[in-house]
Amino acid sequence: MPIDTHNSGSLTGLPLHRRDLLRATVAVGGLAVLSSLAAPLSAAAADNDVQDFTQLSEFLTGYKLDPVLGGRFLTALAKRNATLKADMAALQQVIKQSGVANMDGFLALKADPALMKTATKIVSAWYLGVVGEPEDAELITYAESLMYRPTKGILTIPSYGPGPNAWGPKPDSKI
Amino acid sequence: MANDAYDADVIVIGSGVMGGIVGATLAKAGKKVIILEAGPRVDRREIVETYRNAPVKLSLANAKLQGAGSPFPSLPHAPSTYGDYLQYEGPVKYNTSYLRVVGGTTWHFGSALWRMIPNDFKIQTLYGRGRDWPIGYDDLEQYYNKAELELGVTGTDGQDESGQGGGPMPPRSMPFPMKQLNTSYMFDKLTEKLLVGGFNPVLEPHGRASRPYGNRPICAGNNNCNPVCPIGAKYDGSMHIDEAERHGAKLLDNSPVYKIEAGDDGKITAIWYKKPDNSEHRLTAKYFVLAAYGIESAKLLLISTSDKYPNGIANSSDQVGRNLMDHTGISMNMLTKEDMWPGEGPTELLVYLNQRDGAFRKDYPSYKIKVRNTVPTAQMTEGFIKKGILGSKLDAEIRKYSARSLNWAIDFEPLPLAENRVTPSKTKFDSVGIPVPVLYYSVTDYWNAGRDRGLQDLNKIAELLDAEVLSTDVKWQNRQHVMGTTRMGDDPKDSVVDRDCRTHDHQNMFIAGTSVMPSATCMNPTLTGAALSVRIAEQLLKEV
Repeated sequence: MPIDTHNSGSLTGLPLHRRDLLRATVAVGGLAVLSSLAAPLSAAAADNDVQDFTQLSEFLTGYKLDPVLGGRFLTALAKRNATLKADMAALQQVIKQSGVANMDGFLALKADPALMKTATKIVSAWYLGVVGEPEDAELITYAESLMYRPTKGILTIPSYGPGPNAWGPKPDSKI
Repeated sequence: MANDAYDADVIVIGSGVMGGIVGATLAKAGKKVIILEAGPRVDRREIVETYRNAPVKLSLANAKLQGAGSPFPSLPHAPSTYGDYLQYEGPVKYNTSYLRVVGGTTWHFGSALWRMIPNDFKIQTLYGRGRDWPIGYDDLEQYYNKAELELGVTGTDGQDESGQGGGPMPPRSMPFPMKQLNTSYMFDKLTEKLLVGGFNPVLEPHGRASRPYGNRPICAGNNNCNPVCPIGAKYDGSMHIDEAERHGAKLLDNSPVYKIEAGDDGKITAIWYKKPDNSEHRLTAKYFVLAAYGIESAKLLLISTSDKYPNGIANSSDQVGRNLMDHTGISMNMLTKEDMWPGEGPTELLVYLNQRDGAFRKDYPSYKIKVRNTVPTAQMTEGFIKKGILGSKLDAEIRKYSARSLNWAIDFEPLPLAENRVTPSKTKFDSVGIPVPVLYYSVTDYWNAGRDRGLQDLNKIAELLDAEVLSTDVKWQNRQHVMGTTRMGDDPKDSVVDRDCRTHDHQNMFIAGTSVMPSATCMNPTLTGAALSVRIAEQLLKEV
């Protein structure tokens, strides 16, 4: 096999970015193997936090989520809540113990208000794309905010229009 | 041709649509033009990115949140009207928001571009209310044509814009420059359901291109007319400023004018402006056009005092700053039982004008009913989560309310009242020492009668749509349609400009904009201001 001198730094022939690894890791269900291979220990620990957060967020929202955004949401939320990690752990613990399959199942448990508060903060962040109160609000994403998912394909995310004359017939109500 | 004794043939104060039309027309004819703007130049891409990245986004629903969400810059020498720049007095808060940037407020206007109808010019004679204009529809018709070509208006030919479901009104000698955009599913559905109740649908003429027009692409349904069209399909004043500059006009940005100087013979001799470093500069010209928006234009005249003009420039009548008007309105939110899907296509299009004109104007004001077509998602989601709605119900609620919650609003015709006025603050100044505007505003029982009549219509609409009324706001919503502060009239004792928009007191100064309107109708005034600006430019070409 000829040696590709232009890409000798990577096993795959393509530069391997940490964010790609992060996405791949979450995709295979939380295995920490890849990230421990590719990143220094502290970064790997941080990646574990991001994976935990993203997986918890996926449970709370019911959507497949981007761990790169997850990392940014986590940082912004942690900045405003010193006990976030413990709060998340408590929430994860109850979800795991209860064995509920999804968020609707969890809601039916009528969990402790403190746990609900943690859950709501995380859901609010992903849905609005924003963390914080109006005075210190921080935008993490606009177009990827989950609030636009239920009407995706019908209504535009303002400023990302569908193109000329793309409206008129009854919008597909099955989307 | 420019005379070296002057800095310019014509100086235009203000770089919005009105100043832009005058500046571009004169520059194209080879006149030496200087345009001054208090604020900075802005770049569309930067404004769009600022908007997308803003954590708090301005919308029509939270427009009352002062200081929140405008992607346009606020500079110390040209503070944004979204902050604490404007001062309010009187029983009704006149919380308007205009843009102090090159290109002006049309950057964020919805772009409704209506003509007035003939009766609007003589409401005192016909209905004993308000004030007649010294000119009539026939005097303006050809200038409406020209303004529609300048601004690139899209509209529906043959429509009865007086709202009675009759023949074409007002009379037009030229078709619309562009044919109407496609209607959305919601507009069609509303048309069908409300027509049976006698509501005649009217599609708004507007400034979004429906075919390539100059440099403008076709409207792509970005649903973002306010705060900014991301693709420049919608007209804004920067387009005329660009054209003026291409033809040699000089634009001075970040240059707030703080004094207009007149000689003893009444002629305006010079204007003074500051730079952000507080340095003072003087410019002379043969003619001057004041086009700084109804609030800033009036303020500038009032602060330009001297021994000879103790009440300010153009103010021998004491009418400068008075008769401040707006289409002060109300709104109602309702939830329909079937999916309607507001938010497809442009942010507004369908209106109801059954009460635009008639003998009722003796008793209550004319009004326009409109349905907002903005994507509503962002405004509702936070509320759902705060109410504790999570899980699959959250998506279901977002979808249901996005599809079914409609916001209706009414704009009423105001009366010109001497006490409603713009004055310069005596206590608050911007960073270069210019007083900020103080706005006193109130409404009368005439407006209240309109509110009550309008609510009947909104309730009837809810009934026809089989909709549940979610909320009603009758607290004097500001519509950002500033009019009246330098009104037009034949008598110099009770008006500021004559029928040509020339100041009675100063033969070489004109005022361009909606501030010259003696009465306001219930319709968006930009096209009327633009038609008058075209007319000023043509007059100047004869004289300069």
